[in-house]
Amino acid sequence: MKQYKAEPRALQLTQIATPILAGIIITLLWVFLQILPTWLLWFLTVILLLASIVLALFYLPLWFKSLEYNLSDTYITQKFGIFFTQRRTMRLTTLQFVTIFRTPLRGMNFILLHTYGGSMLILFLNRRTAEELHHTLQEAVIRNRAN
Amino acid sequence: MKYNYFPRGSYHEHPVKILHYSFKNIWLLIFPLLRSINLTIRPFSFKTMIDWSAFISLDVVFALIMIGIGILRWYVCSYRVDSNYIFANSGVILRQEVEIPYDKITATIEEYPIYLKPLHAARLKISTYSENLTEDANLSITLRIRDLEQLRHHLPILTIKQGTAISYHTRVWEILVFSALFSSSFSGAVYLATLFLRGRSIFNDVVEELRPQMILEEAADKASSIFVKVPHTALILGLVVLFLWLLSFLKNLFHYAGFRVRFGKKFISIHNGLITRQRHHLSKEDIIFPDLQQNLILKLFGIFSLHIRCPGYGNTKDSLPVILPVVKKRGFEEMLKQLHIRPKPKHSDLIVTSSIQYIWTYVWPSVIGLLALPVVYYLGIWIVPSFEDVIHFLTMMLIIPLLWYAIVRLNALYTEYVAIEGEYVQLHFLRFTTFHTITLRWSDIVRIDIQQTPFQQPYKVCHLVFVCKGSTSIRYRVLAISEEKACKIIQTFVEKQ
Repeated sequence: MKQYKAEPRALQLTQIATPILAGIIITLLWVFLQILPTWLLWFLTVILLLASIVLALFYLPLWFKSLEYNLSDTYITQKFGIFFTQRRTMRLTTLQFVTIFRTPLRGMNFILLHTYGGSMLILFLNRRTAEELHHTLQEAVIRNRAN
Repeated sequence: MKYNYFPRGSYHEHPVKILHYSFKNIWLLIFPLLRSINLTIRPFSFKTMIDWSAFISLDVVFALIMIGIGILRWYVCSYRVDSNYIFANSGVILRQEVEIPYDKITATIEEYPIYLKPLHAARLKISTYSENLTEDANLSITLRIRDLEQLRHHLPILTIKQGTAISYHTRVWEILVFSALFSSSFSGAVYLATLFLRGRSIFNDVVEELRPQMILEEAADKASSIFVKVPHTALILGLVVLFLWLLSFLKNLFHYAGFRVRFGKKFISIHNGLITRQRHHLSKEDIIFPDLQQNLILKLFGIFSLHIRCPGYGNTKDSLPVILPVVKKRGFEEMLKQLHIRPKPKHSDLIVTSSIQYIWTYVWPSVIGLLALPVVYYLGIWIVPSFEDVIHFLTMMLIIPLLWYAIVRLNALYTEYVAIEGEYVQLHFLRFTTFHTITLRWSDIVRIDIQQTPFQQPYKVCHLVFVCKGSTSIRYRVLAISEEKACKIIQTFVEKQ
């Protein structure tokens, strides 16, 4: 059984991206929704700012900490969630094919597992881990075809 | 590169397909249309009429181009069969050849629309395990009925030996009950929206001609003489909901009229439809699992509707994967055995059920809904005080479905289970308001999820979600079971190869 965790650099990137995204949404609100009363726009601005702070400083670190993958010879398990937890188990014999998404940003590599009827997305891996996991899963796909 | 547009032994599709291909280029008529609009907005004079008529030949050219492209596309599209494959060729510049081996075909549909009958034409749709993202089949051809009869000699799935088959004919009342049970205002609205999108101009003409707003107002006026205390707006709303449900009911009635099913040794054949007669042929070994469905009322009478999960059957938006629309277990044992349907196991390796102490998991949607009703009522009359009587009526009317839903969920609390027996897993669970009983082989399960809310964590309770094989991803959820037993199920799942 091999364990994989989310890349810590990906957490930093998402923490930086969260307030930027909130800033963009607030700007769009003020530009396009001027028909709304000013007090409502200020209210939405404060709510969005607070949400982005809570998300970046508290929720995301905890969520990243909970994200975990366990790969055995026969199955893969994904665990995540802080309040609402989920544990997904997928048998490797059901794998049809695997897609890897690589980005130049560290920790922003993803793998999508396709099965006949379902899928599983493996998030925030560093390049080396993603390549290694992709290779292992590809071998499982080849094994399935041979069987 | 030289293409062979019509390989040896190929057949063309029925010439009616030329119309289909021509209509794909209907946008070419925009030019004559623009000229005609230009004529109508200018003041009338003989000079403008002469100018306009001088270009009529151009309009004819556009119409000929449209039909010409249709004929060309029809000519280059062909299909042929050999002892193992069906081939279909298409495309003028970019040639495309589809090869489907017979043993990979999971389902076929023969469609006989009423408007194609005088032309002796039919549509044949062929599906395989591969997903169809854009269309409802891997291969769809319109062909002469006599050619279809020829195809029957080649495609094993299209032939059923009549002598060995078990057949089942539905009675009229069964189709009426089935159509009523599986109709909803929501699906009626979806159907209406689809009609609107497909034939916007025709739809607009119909709306203009019939003036539904006036009809609705008149119907509401007549209804108000019966329902004296009901507000006029609420009556209109009720009539719209009723009309949408009726539309969905009629659609189902026409779709499933004359339903009959025949079980062969390897294949199942299903016939249904009034306006468009359909013949489905399914490969028995490609049926992933049977699904017995019933609502609370049917459950009380021991009646169910038998559906299946099979690639190529009932996967479109306007159809259901039904095998037996309305059926009682007694008298159908032989037929149920054909689909490996097993009764609830009495001596299973493991049976997991919920418990009364987790009642909140089941009743919270109704309880919260009922508690929210007074809030919604007072908030509504505060925002729009002029609609007080309508809001009062609607909030009162919402109590009934919320109470009914609570009763259904309470029933689910006592009846939901996961049972493991050797190579089979049986699930009985509630999805919206329908109870499902599905019997799966372990190999049919793709993924199992354990879901836990913060309130469940201290009590070691969880929901168990099954994702099974199929061309669409559907999640089957069993609520509030012991975490320890859920882990046991997952352990068995990962150990089974």
